[in-house]
Amino acid sequence: MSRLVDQIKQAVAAFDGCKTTPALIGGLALAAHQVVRATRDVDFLVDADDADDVHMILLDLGYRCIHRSEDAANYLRGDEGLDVLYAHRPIARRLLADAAARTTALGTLRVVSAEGLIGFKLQAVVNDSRRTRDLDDIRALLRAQRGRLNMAEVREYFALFGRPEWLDDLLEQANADER
Amino acid sequence: MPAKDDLSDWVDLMEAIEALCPVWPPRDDWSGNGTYRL
Repeated sequence: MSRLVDQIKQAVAAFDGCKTTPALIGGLALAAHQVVRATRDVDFLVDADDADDVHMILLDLGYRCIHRSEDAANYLRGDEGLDVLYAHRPIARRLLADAAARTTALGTLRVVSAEGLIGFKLQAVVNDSRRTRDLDDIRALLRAQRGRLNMAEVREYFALFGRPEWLDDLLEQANADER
Repeated sequence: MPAKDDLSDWVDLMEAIEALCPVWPPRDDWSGNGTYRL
């Protein structure tokens, strides 16, 4: 079995004691929304109230903490990384509460909605303009989830980050990809 | 044929990649700094 699969299964099992079960975000969560690409980024959305518990759980699993703030944390174990975003604002808390439980090859996992993933990927690229892959992921989600997305919610995220025009460009590109 | 679950395509893909590339390249630097609004 894939080493990455083992890593994720171990973390998910260890998170069982959290008050709110963390939800998958990032590149891996894309696969639950019909966008499959190679990624070894393991990202979870964690309730901020569980931050200390999750920190201790990951240290017990052998990770070391590279960075930790009130918004995010970054852990490393050998060449295995695991990143955490903390849900402490209303939007992230709602996205975590609404994350659907999926039966997957990795066990039962909670996965953030496609709209929420778009929001987090937008946040990532706004924070680091070198992360153009996140824009590719958003475009792929717009294409794969066409007709199923709550576009009002998606537009809210682009407005929140002051980039409403980006959505129009991405939708145009996604449409062009289809042709 | 049983229905595939949500992540099985990704698992298949990553197993193939790990077979071809068992040593992963270093991860990009990640500081977690930035503007968080969600």
